[in-house]
Amino acid sequence: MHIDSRNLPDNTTIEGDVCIIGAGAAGISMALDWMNTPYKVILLESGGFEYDDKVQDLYKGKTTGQKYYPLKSSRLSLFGGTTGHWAGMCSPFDNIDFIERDWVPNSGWPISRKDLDPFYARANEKLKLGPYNYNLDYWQKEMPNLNPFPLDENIVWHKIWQISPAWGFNGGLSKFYKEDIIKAKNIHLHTYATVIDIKANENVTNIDHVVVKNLSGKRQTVKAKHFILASGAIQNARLLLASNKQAPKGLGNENDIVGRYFMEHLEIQTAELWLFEPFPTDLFTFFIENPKLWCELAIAEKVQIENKILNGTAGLSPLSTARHTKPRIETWQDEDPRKSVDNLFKNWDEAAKLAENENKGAITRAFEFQTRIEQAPNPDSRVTIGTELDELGMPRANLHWALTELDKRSIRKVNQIIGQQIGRAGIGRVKLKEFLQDEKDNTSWPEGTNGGWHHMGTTRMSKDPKRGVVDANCQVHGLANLYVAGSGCYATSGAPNPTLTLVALSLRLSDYVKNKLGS
Amino acid sequence: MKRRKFIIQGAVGVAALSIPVSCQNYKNGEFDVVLAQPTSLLKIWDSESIAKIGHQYLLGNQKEKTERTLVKLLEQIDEIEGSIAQGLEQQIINDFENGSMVMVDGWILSITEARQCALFSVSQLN
Repeated sequence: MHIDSRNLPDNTTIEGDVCIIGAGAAGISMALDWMNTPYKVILLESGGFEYDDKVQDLYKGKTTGQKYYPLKSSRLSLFGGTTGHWAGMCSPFDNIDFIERDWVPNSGWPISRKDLDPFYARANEKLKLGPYNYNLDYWQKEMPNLNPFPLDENIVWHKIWQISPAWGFNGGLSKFYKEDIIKAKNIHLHTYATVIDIKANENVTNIDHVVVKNLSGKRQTVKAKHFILASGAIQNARLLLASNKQAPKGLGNENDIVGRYFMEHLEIQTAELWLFEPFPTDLFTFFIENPKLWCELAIAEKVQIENKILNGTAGLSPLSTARHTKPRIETWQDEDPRKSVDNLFKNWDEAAKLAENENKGAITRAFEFQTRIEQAPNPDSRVTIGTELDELGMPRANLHWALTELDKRSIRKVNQIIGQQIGRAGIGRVKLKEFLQDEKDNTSWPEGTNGGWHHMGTTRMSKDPKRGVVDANCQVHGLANLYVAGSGCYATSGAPNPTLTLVALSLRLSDYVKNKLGS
Repeated sequence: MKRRKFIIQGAVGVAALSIPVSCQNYKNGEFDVVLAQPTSLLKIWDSESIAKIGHQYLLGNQKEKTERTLVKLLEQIDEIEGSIAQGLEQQIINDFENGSMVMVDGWILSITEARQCALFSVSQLN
């Protein structure tokens, strides 16, 4: 069922069993999971079904520290959320991503990969992926010409991604699930319903209702037994921090952790790979027409432990094109996400044209490594709220993105390890980019230091309320019926893109809330 | 000077030919020319690049700057079935396996092939 919140009378009270705030990857996955249950689910979406710049403007905020994308254009405020810009890349986190590593401060999740496995399988279905199998051996039988490099897989292995057909080019999750959600009798989707405040009971142990407002000036109250924040890591933190009338530091923030440990995936052009001979394989090719699979070179767990580094992988792009491709942090600087998308694609087209004339000789066998690496959890990398208010009267979010020496050292080491193994295999040589060449420099970053638009960690998970905002079930510490769904709950950010894991985690939370309601 | 210039300019793309010529300038027969032929690297670089990398390697390894020293170091490798070329090839793989690598201008190289580049560079100067 769909309700345009702008058409409801002012001061309407809406009641349900569960209120999900945000209809992006997390919110939609959970709503689908609640379809055809006896429970009434209120799904609140700040935007509509189409892009609306006035709604999108509510996301505007300041950034400081390491250069970042404009907050307004780094996510999308409409049904389907940021999956409208999603590249569809899905791969599960590795075992090591969940464990406490003594060289990574504040690492360690209260759950393991094994705990998430059944939910990863379900997430695969929700995201319209193939079977929950990410082994190269399996995919080699399914698809031709997936030849791996002859590397020692105990050191550098081939990590597989599946590409969701529900990616941005196909309209994101909105296109795939809009009708299902609208038709579902027990799912009440309210569009143009922006939550601006969360109200708890007198003792601040339970949430009583949330306040919804829209740009037409109308307010609504939503009452439910359980409330789930699913608005993305920045917006969830903003909402908790801005709900500060009953809890001066913000809800769930007694220990000053909400908003801290903001993490991104560093996605940086780090090295060149020059192969001695042509290497026929489709393993590293992203088939833009109908992408199904992607592969990156990954570092084995024991090698990460030996070298005390973060988890990271390297993807390959043809060097002839990559040389002319501007860093995304440069092309994606327009506040309007549509214009930023246009700038990005325009540059990709230009780069491809320039490469056509130069694609001769040894460079046809050369690639650029884009390293994607987890960012070490850093309390100084954080989302805060400022004094400036948005159109609905809510304080805007500010982001201070801060990197550490461990991030830089790890990026270098990942590329050195891959370079060593490529050399050992006798198939080519690797050249590190200039910013990685000085072993003593672990603080400077190149201008092309991109994030992956992956916002993680602002409501991190920990058993200990002093170390995390949510517990192992994604319930906010100290608030019995408030939960956070999504990548904000990540204690560490892993190497792969976050969507598959955040959907798995949301489905796990979904089960938990169902059990609570059932009991 | 004229001769060196000719070798560098004329060698682009035909490095395999120019290396032996340049090495023969050094008292003919004193070392096997394959010592100054990083065969694999010739698939991705021209001789000018090899000379540059060799020069840069020597800037950071001054103790190895003479032709005699480099030849001595490179001659330590074991031949395979009487072939020094095969011996070098194996040694390069061993270097990567053992972590005997150097970074020159960002390139992650085996120490053996870096010395081959250096020998090529020095031979050209001679």
